[in-house]
Amino acid sequence: MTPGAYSGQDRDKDGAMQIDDETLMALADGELDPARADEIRRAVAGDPDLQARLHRFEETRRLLGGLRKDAAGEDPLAAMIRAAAAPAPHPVPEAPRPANLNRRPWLAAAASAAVVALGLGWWQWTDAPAPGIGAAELAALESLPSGQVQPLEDGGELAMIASFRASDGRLCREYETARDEALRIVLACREGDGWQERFAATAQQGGADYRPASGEGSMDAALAAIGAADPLTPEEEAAMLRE
Amino acid sequence: MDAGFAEAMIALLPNLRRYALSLTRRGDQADDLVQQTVERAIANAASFDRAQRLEPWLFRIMRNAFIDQTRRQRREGTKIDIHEIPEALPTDPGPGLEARLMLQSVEAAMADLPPDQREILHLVCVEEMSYAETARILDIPMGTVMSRLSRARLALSERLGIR
Repeated sequence: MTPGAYSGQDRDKDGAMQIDDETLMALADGELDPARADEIRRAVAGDPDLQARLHRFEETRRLLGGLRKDAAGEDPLAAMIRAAAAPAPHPVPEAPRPANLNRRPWLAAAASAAVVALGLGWWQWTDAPAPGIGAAELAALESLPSGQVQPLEDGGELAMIASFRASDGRLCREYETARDEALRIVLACREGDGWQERFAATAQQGGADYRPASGEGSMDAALAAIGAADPLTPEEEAAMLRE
Repeated sequence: MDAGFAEAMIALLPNLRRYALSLTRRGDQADDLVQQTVERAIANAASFDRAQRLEPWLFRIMRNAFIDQTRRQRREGTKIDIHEIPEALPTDPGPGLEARLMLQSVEAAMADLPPDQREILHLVCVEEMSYAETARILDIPMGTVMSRLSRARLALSERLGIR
């Protein structure tokens, strides 16, 4: 802390020093400047009550310090960080993937949090195959409960994220597809007998094609645009899927 | 990103793993959070001010990543009970029995505290961040750091029977 920025003391009418908890804690934590620390230590030395209060802060600090364990051996991410520092164009190196092919839904969430929302239409000027909504994706939209992952016909996989009720009552669903290193996040709404994409964003995971945020839209904005409230519960979702 | 920066980050991986566990309370989520933090740090290495300490900078990235995920989990409708897995830190047979028991009771007492108190205790007392660094990581004023931290310390000392 800035020396002298925090005083936390008063003298009562007898002239005894009143020292508050935060000052005692700052002493225990080495946050007081040396002159101030000496002054407080002198006051504590002659006052058993202050000693007891200081002790609580010193002891909690000491005991919590015991949680500072160091893991044995080198961290598995060390090699990946070194590779990123090696002279190379710019790409962020591929991180180790879990051996388990079923991506944990949480990891999918983590990955897509880093996904840069480029807005619907970006894929049209890339070499990626025009995605549209394939048969397997349509089948998933009709039946796959949120939180579950299923393989796609072309070797990718689809993770259903959540379902929403739009302000006009239609069912809308958010899902992600992963093909090779391309992650695509989609919001689709039921239109008559079919499904219509309302938002899609694509990102290369950690590849050289990493693109900065363009601000052309986001899933949150798309959800707001359809008037979606909170995600449906599993029961509500199942009921709407049966309709 | 140069090699010196990479090695400095590697040296801090144990600290990142501890903080991730303290935030998520779950080993698998902590691993993912560390990986995501490292990826973001690499992508943003150029924006790091070399005059600053690296550790608070990384902690801040991790905390923001954690908040993003929490927000998203809420939208996905999944709930995480932080008390589901009481033993979040790996046990190692290093210290003696008495010290191990004490560590366990400290961990249990920490798990019992509200998340904001647990987090600030972890940053200051386990990771040894200064009050000023903690204020920057948590995006709160220094006065709030001190009042929250002192409340958390007193709550912890009550639970551990320190008088």
